[in-house]
Amino acid sequence: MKIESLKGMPATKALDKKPIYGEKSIKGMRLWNPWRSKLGAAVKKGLKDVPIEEKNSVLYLGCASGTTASHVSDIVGKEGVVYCIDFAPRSLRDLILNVGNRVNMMPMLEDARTPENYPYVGIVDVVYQDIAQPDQVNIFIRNTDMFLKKGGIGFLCIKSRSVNAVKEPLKIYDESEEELKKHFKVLNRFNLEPYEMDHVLFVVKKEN
Amino acid sequence: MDFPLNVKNENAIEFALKNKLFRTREEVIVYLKKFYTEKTNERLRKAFSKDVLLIQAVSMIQEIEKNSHVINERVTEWYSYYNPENPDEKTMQRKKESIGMELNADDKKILETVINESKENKELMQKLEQYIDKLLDSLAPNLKALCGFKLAAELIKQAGSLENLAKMPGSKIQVIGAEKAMFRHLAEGAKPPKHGIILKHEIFRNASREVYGKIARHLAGKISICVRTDFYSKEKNSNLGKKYLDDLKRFLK
Repeated sequence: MKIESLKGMPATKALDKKPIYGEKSIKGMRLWNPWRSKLGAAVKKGLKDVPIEEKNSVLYLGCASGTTASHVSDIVGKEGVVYCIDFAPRSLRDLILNVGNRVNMMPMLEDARTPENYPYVGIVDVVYQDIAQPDQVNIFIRNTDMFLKKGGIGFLCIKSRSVNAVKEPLKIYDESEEELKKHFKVLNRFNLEPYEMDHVLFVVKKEN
Repeated sequence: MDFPLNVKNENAIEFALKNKLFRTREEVIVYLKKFYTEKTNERLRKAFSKDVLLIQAVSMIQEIEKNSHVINERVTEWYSYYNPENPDEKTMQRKKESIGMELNADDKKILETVINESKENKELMQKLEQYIDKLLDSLAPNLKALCGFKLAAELIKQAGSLENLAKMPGSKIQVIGAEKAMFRHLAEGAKPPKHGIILKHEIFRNASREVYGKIARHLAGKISICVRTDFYSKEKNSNLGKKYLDDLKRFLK
């Protein structure tokens, strides 16, 4: 979906008017703060056409309190669905209270390392992952293997300091890209500076 | 209805429509929302273990402590305008010949209120400590028996959870609280710290400086075993903690 720009910020059409993280709305469009949302930052850095469409089913790993997930919810609309998985009960508690009235967001208290615990999520069109763990690439591959449709799109946020706190970030990104290439076609790689330091967002496509 | 638990390897919404469970996508989604919300709410209710409450209480005590130094100084200063001869007494009585100010009824009333409020802080802290003491009996009895409730609570708070503390090696427990010194050792090659907050343990009171490191190492090891016992075992008693405290005291001699 091509993302509109309002007052210099990306914006999504509000599925529900209630602000989730203090964001402003203009004429039913929720402003998407690139300083608070990594996907929003990627849009500012050039991802104007986000490969998520209306009616899509999205598996969101690491949704936390729902800042970015709420914009994904806007994009997929009332006939789409966002499975919101997080491991931390404190964050998910906030998510439930924030987005309880958004009917297309499914809160799930799960560990993304064990996708075999939630097979009933079924096949999805998109997998979005923002999990700061050393084995984040591995987690992504296991979840996309199980749930992402053929031809589906994957988004992977890599925080270099989580993979290795002392190694050179560029090296970590290159190594991650090499690993991803074995399983996907890498469509984009966005450095999220200045919105996030030492973070990169990969956009990939599952060919088979 | 089994849905969505019977979904496997296909899109959940399409599965529901194909099998005529619902008429429209929106109907499926409403059902899914109910399913997931109920399931997750159940899990959330049980997701937190009691140590989070302990950590709230410990943090509150530390915050009140910090706050009350400043407040108490203020109260003393304020009171001294009324009774400079005995600024610590904090009662609305003073010597006849006091060189303190003339206060009217309003001035005295507010001063009295301020004094009482600051005393309530102290009472609150006592209540918090009682709560922590009792909570530790069920949460971590061995750790409490070995270290006393104050140090036990602080260790759990610094670790973030009882589980985190249980997973730490003794060497890490030994230096909890000395992170600045630890970082300087790792980054700049300074001497490593010998102890962190475990220095607050009573066993250090009668020990000479030269053996601090040895004691810290032994104590940290025992703490580690106590915490693991408390976290992993089903039986709850403080036998191990008491035994280790005795052992350590004898070892010191």
